[in-house]
Amino acid sequence: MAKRGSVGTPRITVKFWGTRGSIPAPGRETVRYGGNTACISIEANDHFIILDAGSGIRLLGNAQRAAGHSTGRTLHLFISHTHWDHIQGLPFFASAFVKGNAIRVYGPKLFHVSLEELFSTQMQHFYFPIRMSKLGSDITFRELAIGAYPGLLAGIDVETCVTNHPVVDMAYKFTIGGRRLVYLTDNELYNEDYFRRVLQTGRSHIMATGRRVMARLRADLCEFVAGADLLITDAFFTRAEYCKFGLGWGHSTYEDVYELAVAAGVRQLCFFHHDPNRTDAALAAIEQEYQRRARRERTLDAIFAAREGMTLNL
Amino acid sequence: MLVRKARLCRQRVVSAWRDREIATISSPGALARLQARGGADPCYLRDSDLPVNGEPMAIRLLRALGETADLGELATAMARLEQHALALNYRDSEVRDVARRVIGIIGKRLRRRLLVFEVLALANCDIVSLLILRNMVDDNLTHEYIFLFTLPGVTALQRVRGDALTALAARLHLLLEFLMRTKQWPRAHSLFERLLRQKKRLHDPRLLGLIHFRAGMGYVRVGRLRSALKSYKLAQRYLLRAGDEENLVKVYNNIGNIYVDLGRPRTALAEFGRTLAIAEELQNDYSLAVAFSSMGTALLQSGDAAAAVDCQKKSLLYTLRSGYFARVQLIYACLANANSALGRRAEAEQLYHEAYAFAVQENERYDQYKVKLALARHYLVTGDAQLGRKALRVAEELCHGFKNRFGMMQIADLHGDFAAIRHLWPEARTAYRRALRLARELRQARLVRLLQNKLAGAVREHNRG
Repeated sequence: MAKRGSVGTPRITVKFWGTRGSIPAPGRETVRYGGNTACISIEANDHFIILDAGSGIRLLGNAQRAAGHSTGRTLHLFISHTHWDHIQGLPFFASAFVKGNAIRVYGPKLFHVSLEELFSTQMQHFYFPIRMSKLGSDITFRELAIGAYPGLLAGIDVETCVTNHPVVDMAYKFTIGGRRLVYLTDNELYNEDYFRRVLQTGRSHIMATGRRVMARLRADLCEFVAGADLLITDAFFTRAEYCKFGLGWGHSTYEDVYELAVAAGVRQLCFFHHDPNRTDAALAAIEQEYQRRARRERTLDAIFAAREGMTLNL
Repeated sequence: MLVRKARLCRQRVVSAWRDREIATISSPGALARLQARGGADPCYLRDSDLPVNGEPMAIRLLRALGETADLGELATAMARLEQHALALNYRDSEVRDVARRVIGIIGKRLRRRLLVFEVLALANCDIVSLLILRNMVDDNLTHEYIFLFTLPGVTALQRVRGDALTALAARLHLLLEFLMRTKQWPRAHSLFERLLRQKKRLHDPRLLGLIHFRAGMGYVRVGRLRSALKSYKLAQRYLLRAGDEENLVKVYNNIGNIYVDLGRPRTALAEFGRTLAIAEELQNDYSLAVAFSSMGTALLQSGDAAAAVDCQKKSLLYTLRSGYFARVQLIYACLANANSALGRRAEAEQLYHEAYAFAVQENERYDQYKVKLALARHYLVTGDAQLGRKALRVAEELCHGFKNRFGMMQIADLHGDFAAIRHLWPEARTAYRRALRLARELRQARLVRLLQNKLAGAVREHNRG
């Protein structure tokens, strides 16, 4: 599956702490792929990066405490958007309670409300007993616009783009020592079904304009993920589910993300943000189906569904 | 409502048309001309015309309409037809067919002058509401019919009271929206002024808010920004009272746009902040698209071009989510402005080109003017005076078309700027003087100061030369 970096290039370790979308889904049927919501850690160039703060971040905090290095660290937390399944774990993140730790939170610029306000709101008295200002660590926020941030972290370039989701959501591309990791979650890829939904009627030139806009956004996204060594992306629906009830929800199908990865020349594709109702057996079947397809079509180096606790070395 | 009105008014037959406009337009000659332009006489109802899979109920109602002379029955039939048409998901062509016949039949009644005035007013407005809501008015002939059939309603405004007044004003507000959407500006202007005259007698805050909102839009169109701002502020007050957030979000956005035009981006940003907050709350993709685009324009004006690009891209995404692609040209133009400010010349010009082409396709002359004006500004920055003046000439022609004095002031100012970069000082002086005169007429104190400085500079350079 994943290959180790060669000598001289920085070692990049990716670990999945939460892989579900929408809501935590504990139970016997989600043991293999996990029931916690979105959280991934990346260790590279002496930096510790966290992608999203879903319920999986609690396990990360516990693991850091158990490893004995929970103080005096700087953690870089990149938030895709502020829906619950991407921020709900922060109040339970042990490292956030430790004095001396610094947490730098990055997220999309929303213009009318700050990221800090949104995080503070979920820790208001009615929802949680401890206010964010009372957490021991030094938490600061930085809002990012769409664009490139060369050297945002020493030796790491970050690029952002906006995704197709009901609330402002951001995808991140990390370039570390020439290797590219793209985190693209909660995104509905543009496709014909989607187009038909948004434009049921209309004059021909409006339809044509709509198509041009969609093609442009699709091309922008394809360019964003082009040549990624690892693409971690939202794959929530099967085609049938999507057409039946998922149109416009802001999530993609396995088929669409596979096609995007192939078109963009991605090396490894990781299905992420699993449907909370998808059982281990169903997910394994989908994973195998696409692995067979990739082998048959000789497209991607690897394709897999993210599992809680899984570690990859890029 | 319609039936009750019919009963009340059954005995009051209007003997004479008091409104000269109605008398002229509703004359048999005028109707005949309209019908001739539309081809076959729409009054004529043949069995062979009936849709094969048409709704028997609708057809029966149509027949009743064609044959009855009873006003109560007619009013009932109209109300039932409307309910029926709205309840059933007619295919567009079928509804259009039915609606045209209804229009024709009412036209016939109108010619015979059989209807009680107020009943006719409400019934006609109901038909128009039905047609507008069903999006069945897509040609100039139907526009004329629409106008014709609502004239009794407009005249009846002064006479009716209480609930009937509210009902009539609500229907006429829909007509006002339609007139603005179809760019029938003089008619729209006349209608909102008539509606506003009834302000003290209307007690529905939502309706009053909407009328002021449309009035504000009309004033913007003719460049009367202060009047527009006043109307929008009143609309804001009434809509807040009515708790109508769907429309409030549009009002805040339009107020912000005026501040952008007046060169006050900070004030505009505060308004757009409110717009975004409400749009998020409503989870309305279209409102989010508009709000992000407007926010981007204000950010660009305040000097943050990168954030402006960010906003426009978000706007484009929400436009795609909403499916309302008619806005694309505006977003492209704004994105082009932001790229121009960032020095991405080729990208900016490509976007201007696409925005203009789309506005031409849509026959949106106001948007064409806006794009050309923006393109001229872009060329001013890049120093391409020839291309800039060419774009400006097109903008000027378009602006003359809707007599927008604010636009003419902006154009005169830009003419001055182009002359100034080519050191043609007498020409610059003349252009700035014209712009200054217009700014004074429009009472734009900030712009007056700005133009005075430019004029002084041009005079100084001229004297030095």
